[in-house]
Amino acid sequence: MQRKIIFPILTVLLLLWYCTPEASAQKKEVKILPEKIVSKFQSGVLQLTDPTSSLWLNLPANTVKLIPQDVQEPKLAQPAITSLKVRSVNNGTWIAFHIEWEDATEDFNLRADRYSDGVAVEFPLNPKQPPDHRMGSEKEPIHLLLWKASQQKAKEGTSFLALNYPNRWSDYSPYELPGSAVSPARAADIKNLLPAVALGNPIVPGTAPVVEEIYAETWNKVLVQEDQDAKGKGTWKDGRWYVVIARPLFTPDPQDAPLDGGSSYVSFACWDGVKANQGPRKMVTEGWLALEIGK
Amino acid sequence: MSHEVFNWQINRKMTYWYPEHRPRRQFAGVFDINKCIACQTCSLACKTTWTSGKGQELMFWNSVETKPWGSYPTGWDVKALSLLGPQKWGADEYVGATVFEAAPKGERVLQYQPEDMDWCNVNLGEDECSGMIEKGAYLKIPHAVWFFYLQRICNHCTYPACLAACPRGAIYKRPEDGVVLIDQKNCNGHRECMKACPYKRIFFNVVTGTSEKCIACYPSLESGKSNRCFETCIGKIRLQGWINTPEKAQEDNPVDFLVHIRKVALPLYPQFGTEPNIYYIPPKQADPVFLRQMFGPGVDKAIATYKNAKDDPELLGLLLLQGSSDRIIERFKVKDGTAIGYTAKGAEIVRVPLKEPMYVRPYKDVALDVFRHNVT
Repeated sequence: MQRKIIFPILTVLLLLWYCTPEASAQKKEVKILPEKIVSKFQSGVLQLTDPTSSLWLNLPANTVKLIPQDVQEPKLAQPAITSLKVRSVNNGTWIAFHIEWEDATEDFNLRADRYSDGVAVEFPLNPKQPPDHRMGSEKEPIHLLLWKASQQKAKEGTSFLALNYPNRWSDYSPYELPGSAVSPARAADIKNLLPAVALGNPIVPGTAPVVEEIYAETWNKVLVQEDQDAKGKGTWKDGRWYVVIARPLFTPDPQDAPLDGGSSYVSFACWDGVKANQGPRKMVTEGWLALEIGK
Repeated sequence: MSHEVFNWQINRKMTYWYPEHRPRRQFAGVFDINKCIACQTCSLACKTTWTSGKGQELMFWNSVETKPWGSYPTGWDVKALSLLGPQKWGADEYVGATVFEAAPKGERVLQYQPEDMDWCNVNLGEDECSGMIEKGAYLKIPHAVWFFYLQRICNHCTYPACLAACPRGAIYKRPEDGVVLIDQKNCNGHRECMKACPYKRIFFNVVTGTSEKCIACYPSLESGKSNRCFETCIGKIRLQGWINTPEKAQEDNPVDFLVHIRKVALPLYPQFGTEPNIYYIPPKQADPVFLRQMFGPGVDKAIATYKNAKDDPELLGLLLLQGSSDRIIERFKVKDGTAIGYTAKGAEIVRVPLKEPMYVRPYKDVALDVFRHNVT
């Protein structure tokens, strides 16, 4: 008799707890969307240097919807980029994703109040059991390929210091004495004045690759990979971003998601700099999309 | 993910992103506002030591601003206070919301993003007083108009808003001394810390793409020496040490004595809820209403105690020990008209007399057969 009463009470209590924010934060949300991205096989060299090329634009595209990241604080309060057009090809060695979206402003500047546009392609490390698509979960990592407009501009030679403060002047600067060469000893000193550079922080503008390969297990465990193989290029034209992100299909790197099985899952994230999108303040797909790699 | 923690400065429990985890000992400083002349020696000592690199041109981890009008970054305090809304103190505790409790849904901390231009005017409003000086004005007490200098470094808070806000977990509080640091290897430059810090003591470096902040000169700290801004202060307004929680306060610990025993030094904007660890002896001549907003309801008593220092040998002795050595004074004693500073192990560092001895030389130097006078 007692059992008959206790069991329903416990069930109700469990259900009530399940509705609390704490419980929902612990819920593992793995969502597989009905859409499928098919990476078309194309022999020869892939077009990775001109994202506006008709070679890309003539390919059929999937429209992928994005929603604000609303799981982990800081969340994105206002929607930004709401959809992407995605195309993909592979040549049996490399796979490339062409991502296109509408963005009225080209945001690549970095300073206290400026943020960069960006886009990421993400894969589960274990395609048989994909984790939460937003940043993976404990011991269920994901592999991100992150392209940022700021990193590309820095790589192309833009100095954010000169861009933002063209008239800056230092009475004496130990690193920029006009007309004098920098000695090796002085170069070491200069490096030490920039702790992030001295420590090899992989996000330092100009040193970071245009497409960063990242390994993430949770929101707090986000590591820039040692081996950076990905390539990419972005072009902003007439209010649209055209970005190509490519990676080898087969790599020995254990932190890379395996794509040699011919299928996996893929998800996307996008940042709009003018709306101060940065880090977890991003637009994301609602879940994983199936990825079929044509042969 | 919010946890319940205790904040003794507001005398109540509050919510914080992480559980309460106090360091083994906590770095702290006491700044006597009454003695500051805004010479900016501290600012430059810090600047030349730590922020002379590229991308740090507008970065002053230590700054001295004139109140009520000065601020760096521009308007940081007005903006933070406006955002927080009315801040009410009850009889024994702060009853308003902290920056953690007032955080909107989806945020970890109540925050605002300073504009880049806000960082470009480090000494804005210097020496501007509270109001117009009328024709015929003369010095009277209390002063008709006033201003004072506010010396600012990172507060190395017990509950740092920057640490709570970092989505990468790249900010940490050292367990050995409570110093709050940004891991320059792992900072991803999201600037959530910059937005979250209500005191706006996080700076963005456009060259490295990372956020940077005061490191409490931890190499000095580790060797028992004062931080650069403490050591070089020519007004001797700064006292560096370690603070305990009120129930563990030790009377011979200089910071504990000023903060917990005499309660003459107060935290800046305790209502933010971060439990900052830089304490201020409030200025005697400024508007008490303004000061209560800045330092909480203990201001009037603190000023009364400070004014009474001449009749309080222990307090007077400790105030005289301030800035008297480049070593960290961890214990002190006042005995026979002398204040003595010690290391934690009891080794004497410095002693100063409570009254400077005065020597009067005879008007005539008999040996040289000359009169001593000032006429040249």
